[in-house]
Amino acid sequence: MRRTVIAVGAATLLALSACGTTEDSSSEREAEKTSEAAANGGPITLTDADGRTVELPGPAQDVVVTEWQQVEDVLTLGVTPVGAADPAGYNTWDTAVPLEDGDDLDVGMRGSINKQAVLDKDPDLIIVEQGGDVDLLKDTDIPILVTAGADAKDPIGQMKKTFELIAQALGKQDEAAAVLEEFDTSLAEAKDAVAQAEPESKRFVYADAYVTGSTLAIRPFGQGSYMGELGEELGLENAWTGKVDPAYGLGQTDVEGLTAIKDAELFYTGTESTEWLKALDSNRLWTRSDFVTDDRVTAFPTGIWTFGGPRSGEQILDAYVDALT
Amino acid sequence: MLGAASALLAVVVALVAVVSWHLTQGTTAVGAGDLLDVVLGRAPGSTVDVLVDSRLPRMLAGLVVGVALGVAGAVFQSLARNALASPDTLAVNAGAVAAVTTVAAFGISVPFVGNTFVAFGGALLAAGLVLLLAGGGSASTTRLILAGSALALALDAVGTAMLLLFDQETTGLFAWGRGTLSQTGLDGVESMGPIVAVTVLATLLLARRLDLLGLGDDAASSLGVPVLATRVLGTVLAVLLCACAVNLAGPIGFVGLAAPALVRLAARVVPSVSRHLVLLPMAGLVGAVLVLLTDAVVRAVLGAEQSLRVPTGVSTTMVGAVALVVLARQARDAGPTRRPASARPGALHGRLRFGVVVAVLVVLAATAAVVGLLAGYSWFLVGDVANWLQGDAVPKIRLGLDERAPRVVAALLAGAALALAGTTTQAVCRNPLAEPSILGVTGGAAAGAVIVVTTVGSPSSAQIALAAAVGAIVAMVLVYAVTWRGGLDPDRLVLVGIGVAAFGGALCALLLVYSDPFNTPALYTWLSGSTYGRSWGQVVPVAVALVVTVPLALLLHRELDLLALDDETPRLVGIRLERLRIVALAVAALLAATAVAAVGTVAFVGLVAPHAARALVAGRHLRVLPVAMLLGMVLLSVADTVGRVAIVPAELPAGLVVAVVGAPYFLWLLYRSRA
Repeated sequence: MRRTVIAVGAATLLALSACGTTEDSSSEREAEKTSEAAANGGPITLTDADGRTVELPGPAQDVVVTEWQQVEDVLTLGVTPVGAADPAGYNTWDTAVPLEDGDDLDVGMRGSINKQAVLDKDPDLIIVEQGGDVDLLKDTDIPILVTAGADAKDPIGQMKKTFELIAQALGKQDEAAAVLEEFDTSLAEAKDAVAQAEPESKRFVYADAYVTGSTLAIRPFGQGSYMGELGEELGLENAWTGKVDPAYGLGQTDVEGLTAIKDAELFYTGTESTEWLKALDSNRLWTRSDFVTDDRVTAFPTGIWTFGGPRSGEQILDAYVDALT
Repeated sequence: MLGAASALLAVVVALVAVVSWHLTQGTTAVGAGDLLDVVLGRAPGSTVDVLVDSRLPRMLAGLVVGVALGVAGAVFQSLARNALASPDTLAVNAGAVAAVTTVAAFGISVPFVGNTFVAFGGALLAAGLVLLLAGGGSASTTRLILAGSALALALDAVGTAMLLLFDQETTGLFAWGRGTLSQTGLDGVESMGPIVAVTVLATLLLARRLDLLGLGDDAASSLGVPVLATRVLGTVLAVLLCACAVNLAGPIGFVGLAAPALVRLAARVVPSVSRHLVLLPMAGLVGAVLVLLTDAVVRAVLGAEQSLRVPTGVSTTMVGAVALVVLARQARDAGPTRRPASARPGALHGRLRFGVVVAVLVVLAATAAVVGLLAGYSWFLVGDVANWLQGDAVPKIRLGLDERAPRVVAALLAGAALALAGTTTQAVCRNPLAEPSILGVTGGAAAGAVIVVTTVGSPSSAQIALAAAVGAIVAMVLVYAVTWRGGLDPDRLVLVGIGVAAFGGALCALLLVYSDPFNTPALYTWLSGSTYGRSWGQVVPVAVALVVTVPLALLLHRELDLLALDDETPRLVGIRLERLRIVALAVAALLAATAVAAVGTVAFVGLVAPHAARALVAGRHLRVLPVAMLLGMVLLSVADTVGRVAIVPAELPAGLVVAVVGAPYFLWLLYRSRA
């Protein structure tokens, strides 16, 4: 008991003796930033996805981004964020525009970012996902731009809207217009390529699946998903008509449910898929289904973020073309 | 014996009916007529494939899992002579799940049969540790369950932490982590089914020994039963059953507890059912009916495709919980649940020791608070805090401490509230396992909060706190009203409480999964208790609750002492027992509700703090109450700080850390106090 008392006392003294402060003066930098921003094109006023008015003294240069699609958007516009949620994960799952020196930028996990890490990056804009971190960050003086990651009513339009909103905040409208033009060109080219190839079936389903032990979960990208909608833009028909969620357009099914797609092509993510494919090797419902016996099951390349921005979209279009031609 | 035979027959008939219904359901239109065609040999091959490779695997998985868990639960309950013993409360399922999740999280891909070894290894380790800590085969039932639930909480925390940290690598583990019957084919059932069948038969060989063990260890060994060998053998068999079930479908919650409990309740009508030769197969069959009926009802209501969003373990828990509550109410005696009143006797200690303990804890709590303020993504110094308190810190530090301070205070106050709630609940229930979460109060509060969070766009903290309070009160009133039958039997209270708690937890998981299926890390954070994003608005209710209840609890300390003894003593000295119980439980409910609003569902503090307090200053509530509250403050505050610092800039929920930090201490406490 006595030893405990001594230990605790010592620890307390140690803590109390660390009485300095960590304060430094950052007001100079603030002033510098403001004048720089003004020089770059003057104030910007935006309306974000939540209908909030966001005012910036000038185009944002040091941005912290808390969701991967938006990280990709910012990178696509030629800006390296000063902070991003889970950069390592981003580089694994979104290879469209790589993020360099990832770990220095880490501000916590998507969905639970670290407020102090964000503040520590001294950003002049924080880009967050709708329904996410606004409450946590609202008492800072730093402007927050709320963006919508997806909308199953118009997934491609929503992708563009988010991209353009971010471009406005960064003062990169011209770059954004160029990127979206490239995207539209890729889309048109891919559409031509598919039309010329004249694939046997124009019906398709894109799905990913996960196996654990002997249990299986299959997630088809249904009506209103970014994946599915890009396929439809190519003149294909998304054969998955089951119920989906209102934002991402994702459904849920099992092996039996997949039999409904009969004559369609079955595409799936190439990322971490060997296991479930192996597990279905002995399932006759799978092995005897039309898409397997006719060899209409195709993997998309690894590292394509199916919830990404225009550059991910171009990767997806390439994958469709490769699979069908 | 005739009664037993017809009871068995009745369950078999029920099972056949449920199986038939279950097979007609699926994500294609294949229905009863098509299945009849298969039997008559005139169906197309594709229909046969649907039956053989989709319908049968799901049905058989449910059957095998139900039987395995039902029998395992019955064996555990008989070995421990405690209706609370089950694969869930003895940490067996948690051990299997933690092992499988950890292996998967590190990216090691193990073939299916290999996974059984992983699951079995984890489950056996957990069970072995529980037995060892509880003092081997001759352990008292209370110690066994105490060690088991403590370890289960810690292992659940490990598994959940893995899911949080490796969310991408373990995406598929989410459905599995809450139990699912969706199979890749017959492979799983073909490899697990025979093992389960043989193991169930082996348990039947122990039936007579288990009958005699029910008379008590001494009586059994004087009748020639090798008590220790029976315990070890029975445990290994039951663990194997659980490992098979977990490997096949993940943790299907509550079946191992509910199925044998239902059979024991049926023994009131048909006494011969309580003989193990009948009880074990009955429990297995009832388990299978429970799993398959639940699955079939959910599919009938939601449709086969939509129901895939709902983990099977969540729905079995809800059904099992309701069944248990309804039947527990009708029971005069809920089975062999009698336990000694206290975890350990503990000598009376002097006033000096009490003073020293309180002084040390006050210093520790203060230190925890200060360190909590200093520690985080960026470390501050005491001078920063001083400046902040005077209102002239630079913006970055001001904002940093503005965020940190309510979290530190939330952890401290919620820790105290949970400890106080746990102490009063344990006194009322005379059950060392009882705490607000086991009585359903925490689950009710969480369900209330989650309903508001998922239905109202962005609710204010006041709305969440109010909803949590309403949920807690509803749960408490429900538990109390259902339990009340001309008096309050503490055993029945706990049984009903566990039912309501499980229901509340499952309801939370269901609502969160359904409202936002693609945000699993956030769901886990909510369900495992975290101070993330807390503001003063959520902290105020706990403070108010403590101001109201602490004086009341201290005022009632003598009554609580008497309440913890037995039913008769308080009456003898003229205490109005029922009124006291209601007051004490209301205190616990208020505290638990406000704590949920502040830190989410943290289970461990209410369990561990009162025990540690009793170990430190013996059993009188005048001393236990303040010591327990201080311990709760220190425990939750340290856990919160560790969670914020350990894997910066990412965070671990405080509730997970508290289980990982608190459980070893608690287990050591149990180990040290072996008889």
